[in-house]
Amino acid sequence: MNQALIQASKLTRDHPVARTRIFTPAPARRVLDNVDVRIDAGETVAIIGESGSGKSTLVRILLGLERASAGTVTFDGRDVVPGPARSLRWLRRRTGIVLQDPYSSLDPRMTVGGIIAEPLRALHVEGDHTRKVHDVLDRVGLSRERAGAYPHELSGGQRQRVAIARAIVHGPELLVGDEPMSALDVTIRASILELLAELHEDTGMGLILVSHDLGLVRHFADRVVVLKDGAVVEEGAVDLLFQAPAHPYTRQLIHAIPRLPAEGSSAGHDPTAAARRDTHSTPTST
Amino acid sequence: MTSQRALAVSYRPERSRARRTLVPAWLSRTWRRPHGAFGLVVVSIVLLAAAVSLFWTPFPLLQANTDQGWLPPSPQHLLGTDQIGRDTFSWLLAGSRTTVLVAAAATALAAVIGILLGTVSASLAPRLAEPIVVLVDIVVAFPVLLIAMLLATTFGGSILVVWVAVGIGAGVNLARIVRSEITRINASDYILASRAAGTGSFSRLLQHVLPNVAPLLAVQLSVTAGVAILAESGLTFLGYGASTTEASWGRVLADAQKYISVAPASVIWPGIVIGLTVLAINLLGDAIGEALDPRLQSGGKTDGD
Repeated sequence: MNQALIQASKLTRDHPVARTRIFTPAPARRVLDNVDVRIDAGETVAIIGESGSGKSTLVRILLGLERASAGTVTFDGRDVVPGPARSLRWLRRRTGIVLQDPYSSLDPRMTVGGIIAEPLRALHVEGDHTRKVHDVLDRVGLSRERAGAYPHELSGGQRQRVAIARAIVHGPELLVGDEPMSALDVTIRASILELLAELHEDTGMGLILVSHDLGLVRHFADRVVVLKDGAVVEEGAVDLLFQAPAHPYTRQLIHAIPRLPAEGSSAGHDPTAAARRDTHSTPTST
Repeated sequence: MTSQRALAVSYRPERSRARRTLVPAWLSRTWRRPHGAFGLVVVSIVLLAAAVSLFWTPFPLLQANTDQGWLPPSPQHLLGTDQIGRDTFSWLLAGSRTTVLVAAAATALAAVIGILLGTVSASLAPRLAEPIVVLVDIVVAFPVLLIAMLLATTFGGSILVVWVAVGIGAGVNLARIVRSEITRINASDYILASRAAGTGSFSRLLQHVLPNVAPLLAVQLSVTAGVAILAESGLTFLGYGASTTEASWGRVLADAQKYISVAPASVIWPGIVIGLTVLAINLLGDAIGEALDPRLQSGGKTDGD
């Protein structure tokens, strides 16, 4: 087995909760419980779970943005320890993250160009920054004139494209999307997903996509990790997962995918069969 | 950081085509708002009056003519004279000097204290920040008037007492506001995104945090300047501020107040000057705060993706 790009073992994270009694120790809520994750280079992994399942916390720990209470993360064999910016620059050069809400993830006081150029400045990337910014604007489908605009002048979809541009401008090997579509409306969601898929195909960069919507990632991810209450309940190739979900929670998530009434075909009540039927783009699933 | 500068220049063209002047953009935006224009005009007049009074006043301040007491306004004495025949206009002109100086110095002191304590207490680890927060809270508990009285009883009343008392009193209040604003900003997504982009905490402070505190700061500091003018007048009135031979607006008001039953009109002039100036400074602060916020500028959101 070759070396994983990210190897996380026994990740546990406790959030302190406001104490209600003075003499007992402050209680803690377990957000992550002994999570092991392995991500290979160039792989597309979806991390699925409902709100509060710890999926955002997990990816933030993987990127050294939050501290785990216990457990270790290694990136390409090197330990990821949260700390001063300088000590993590090597990791930042190789990763990028797109956050959920494009309305709050862009500094309202900075122009689009300044926002996108930020990783280039912070990571001391060499070369012509202006050109890199223009290239990445082309790449995400925004016109170059947008570099002078402020975030409030853009629509939600355009803002998310700016956030993606910021995450990829320095050419990372791994892009993390922390629910990058959930704050957008449906049509724009599809175009953003398409953009991410294109980026993955063109550059071969790995992709971790956090989502609560299994349906959204099924045509897209190689592998799915299902989180529930801070623990991994199921993990595996996306097709296998849809064919034979092992955990009842996964079955529940598959049931929750809204789908159009089956066109013409027999109305089987097996949800996985139904799921397979509308999978035009994954003929390998049967 | 040269690349950053080059970038900053290269991103401007779309905007600077519209207007290329020596006046900074935020100032011209302030001017275009009615309350901003009003504030700028009045504050400029006060500053000009303070500057002029350094060299010239219509009458020497201490020249008394007891036979010319309580003269009504005339071309010679624009605002009339006081009980011993001193020219009220000259006193108000010279008074602007003291008042402007105290207001500016107190605001500057408050800004230094507020920004420094606020930023430090918001940036340090909670364990280290706690003593600062507690100290600030303790000082906040003392009203400006009480601080001024404490200082005046120890060092004697003077303009310096006003400066220090207002500076400290307003400074600790500002520190609390700045701290809570920075805490809010630090929890925002764009700070997390900036962290993920690899920025250090100091560069985040300069590039994201402080620019986002600036509009609030403009408003708060203008309020402080207004309060400082009122405090100077009030403390001088109570005898903790300017001495009887020092021209200040509070001095003029305090002197006139004694004779309010004899010459009620004489109280009006310093009152109008003080009120108008404080109003203008507050309006100016509001306008600058608005001008500093790109979200409040015209240039609408585009539709579609």
